[in-house]
Amino acid sequence: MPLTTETMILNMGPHHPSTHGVLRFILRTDGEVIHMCRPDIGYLHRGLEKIAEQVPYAHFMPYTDRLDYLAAMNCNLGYAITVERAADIEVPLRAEYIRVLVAELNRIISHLISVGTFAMDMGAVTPFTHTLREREWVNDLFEELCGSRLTYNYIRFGGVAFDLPDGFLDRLSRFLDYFEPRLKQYNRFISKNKIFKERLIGVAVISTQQALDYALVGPNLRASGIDWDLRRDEPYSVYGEMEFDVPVGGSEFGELGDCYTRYWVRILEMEQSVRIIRQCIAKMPEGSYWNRSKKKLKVPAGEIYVRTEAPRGELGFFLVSQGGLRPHRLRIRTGSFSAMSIVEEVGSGLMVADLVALIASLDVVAPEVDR
Amino acid sequence: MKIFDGIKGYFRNIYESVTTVSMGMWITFKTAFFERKVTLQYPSHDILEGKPKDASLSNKPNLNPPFEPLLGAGQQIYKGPLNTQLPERYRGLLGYDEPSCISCLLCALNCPIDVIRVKGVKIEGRKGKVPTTFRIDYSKCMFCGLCVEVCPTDAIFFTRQFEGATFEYRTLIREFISPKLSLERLQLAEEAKAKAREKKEEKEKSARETSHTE
Repeated sequence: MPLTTETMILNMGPHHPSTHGVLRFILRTDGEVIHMCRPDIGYLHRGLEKIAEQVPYAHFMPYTDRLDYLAAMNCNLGYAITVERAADIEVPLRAEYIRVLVAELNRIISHLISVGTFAMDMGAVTPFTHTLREREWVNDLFEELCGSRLTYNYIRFGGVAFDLPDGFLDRLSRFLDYFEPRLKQYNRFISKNKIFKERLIGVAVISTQQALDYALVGPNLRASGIDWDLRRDEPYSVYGEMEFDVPVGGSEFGELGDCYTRYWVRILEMEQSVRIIRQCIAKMPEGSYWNRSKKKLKVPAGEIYVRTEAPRGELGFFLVSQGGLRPHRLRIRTGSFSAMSIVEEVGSGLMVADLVALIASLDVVAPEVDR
Repeated sequence: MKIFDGIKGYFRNIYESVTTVSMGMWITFKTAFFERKVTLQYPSHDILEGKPKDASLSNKPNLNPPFEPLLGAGQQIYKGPLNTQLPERYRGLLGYDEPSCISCLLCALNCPIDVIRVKGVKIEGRKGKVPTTFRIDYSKCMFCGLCVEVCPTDAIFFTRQFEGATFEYRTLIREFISPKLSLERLQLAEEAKAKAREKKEEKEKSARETSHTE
């Protein structure tokens, strides 16, 4: 008589330490092997797109903070650029540089969280405390800049809310001087760790074709070997004047598109962000920081789609205006959502423990999935 | 030859594991014993001194801490224990400076979630309108700062108070103008209105009379 095992339906989440928020996965498992993995999303749905239709344009800015709470500046920036292009608002040069600076700073701390939680999900708890220590410093800088540590609400239509405080750039350079050796330390600490590498290389491989089919974006796409970065290929703000490389996954660090490559691309991106911030500090022009208009903002009727490169990939805002004080419709496209959709295809066939690695390496943030 | 490679690989694996793990351990060790500790025993210790604030206080849990009333800009503001380290632009709970408020409603109109409720009346001897109701619902506030940004007289501002935790929601709804003061102002406004009406009537009357005589 052949040995057979019954498959079992297993609920992973909604409250599971590895899901980074409230996410649920319905697994059909045969022992440790997953036969089917279906993500069940919507636990954090707050109806942000509907709220956008009910509040004036400027009032939606604090809500974009809540879109992706680990990268609020980037969400602010995406929304601000959308409305500015639709309403034809000019932004002073200094404001543009400040925006790029804060966006890259936020990218660093977002990736720090991603790297730290990834290591923690893999069982190494110490790196998380190290990455959070660095993040605290940046949070202090942001607090000094705009008064808030997480939900910044800093970028406005036509500029930024506050000018840089006195001596801010010096303190920022001091942080960067401190941070660069730390990044090398992380590499010695976890990236080059034999156990960490053995655990992740070749796990949950997303091929180039799969990445394209499922419209992966951001670091996940680049880890699968596609050289695409909106900051370089469709430059917005002053990214066109910046010099930086786009790290793309390759065979030199493990297999193309595996968990380790996705991790490694993020580490490399942090180095590039430091480069961009240094250029911003060097080039920071004088002048006005906010081209403030006293009138109520009215966006002319029409449609516009603007995408920007957030830490979790492309963040797109599709705005339909009928000429009123409020958007007629605002659709938000986020990187985490498309990353979520590929879990079903890649997840089946994995071990349960490897699914944790896959989710952590995709760097999914639950509020961004559900909006 | 293949078997030798296998053995070599086996020992290399062991060597790499031991070295990389000990490297990580060394960093942990260094951080744990030689680097400056950053843990702050926040409520019980003074941040700057690093000592317990008041031994008798720190041992007793305060079950229902009084929620200090927020005072105006000119008056003494409640200073949180982290006061010295908070930056200038810190967004704490909203504060309100009654004398400078002109009830222009800009803060209420600029709030995305209707946290602020303002009503005002016109009274002689003060610029703008005088507020009769000013209510902030701290339980809803999301500290976006849009109201502070638009206030023309800096009547609404951010304090440095962040310890707003209470046991009941209703304690988070704050009336900044006492009912007594509100009533007084409403009466004053009513009297002023009545006076104006009388004046107007008299004027009209006299105008009618003059037109009658002509």
